[in-house]
Amino acid sequence: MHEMGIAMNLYRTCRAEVEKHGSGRMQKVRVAIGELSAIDPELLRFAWEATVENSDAGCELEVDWRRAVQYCPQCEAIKPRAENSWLMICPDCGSPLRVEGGYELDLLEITFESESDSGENPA
Amino acid sequence: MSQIEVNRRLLSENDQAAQFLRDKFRRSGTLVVNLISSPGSGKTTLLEATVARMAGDYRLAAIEGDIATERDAERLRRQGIPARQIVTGGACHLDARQVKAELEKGDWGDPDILFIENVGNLVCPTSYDLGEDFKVVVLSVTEGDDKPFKYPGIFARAWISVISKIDLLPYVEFDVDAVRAQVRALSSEARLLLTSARTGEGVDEWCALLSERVKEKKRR
Repeated sequence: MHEMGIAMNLYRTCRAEVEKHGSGRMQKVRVAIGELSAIDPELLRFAWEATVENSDAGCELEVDWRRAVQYCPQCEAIKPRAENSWLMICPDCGSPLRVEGGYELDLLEITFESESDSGENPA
Repeated sequence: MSQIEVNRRLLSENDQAAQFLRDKFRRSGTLVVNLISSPGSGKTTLLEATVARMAGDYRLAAIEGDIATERDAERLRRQGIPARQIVTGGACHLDARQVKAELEKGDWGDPDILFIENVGNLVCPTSYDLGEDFKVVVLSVTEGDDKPFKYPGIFARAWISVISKIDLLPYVEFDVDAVRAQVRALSSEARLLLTSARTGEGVDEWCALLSERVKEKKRR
């Protein structure tokens, strides 16, 4: 369970970004999590809720779940596999497969209510 | 409502510290090995056997990560190498900032190989880059032969998968070929080594691989 540490790190990074763009309350944070990144999205959401509770309560954490793919260099194609299972070798040609992607652990986007937005709309 | 596109690694604080360590170890020509496994797979015992074989030719050092106690660092100090203990007090992994802080506590000289023995856990340490040259996962035969597919993250990322305690193979159901096939499916580059620190089997091969990598690092 290291999701708490990740959530806190994410929170500090987000707040720093928001401060650079004029400050305000965060509404939504979007992250990409890969299936090989050793992060459980549900635990991360749970940790996120606790982390933002005092400053940005209700800020949603949206997780883009990124699966790893198994690619066959011989067939030059991605070989589909069932969730939570892995192919030993290429089912079509028997070659060893290459695992690609799935390590994502990225902050993608922050949506926030900018303090300058709350005043009179200049337009 | 405003939107900022960030597109930045979530562990950026850890990654910065890891980059600092990587630069430092490049300058000093230190090979850094991050050892990961579940508790009790024999990481420290493998290191003891490694020290017994390599300490004559190389300057070795170790950082030991554990939730509590100094035991592992003490075991390695008894073998005659500098070893420091990071007690995480509950945290399930080491992060690069802790390693950096430990190194900043005082100079060690520049070891040829620094072993970082992570907290026993097959999940969380996987996410944290410690500035290492490569990760090693240790799997003992008593843990069962289904582990690579159950913990794909670490087995996909480790450059060496060490199967430990193979002297117990006659007594447990453990299909080495099944593990080999799983490891190969997750990483086409991974090496699989079969070892027993007790009988010494495979330990020379492990030391030879390390020694090859140290020389390679020193040449760069």
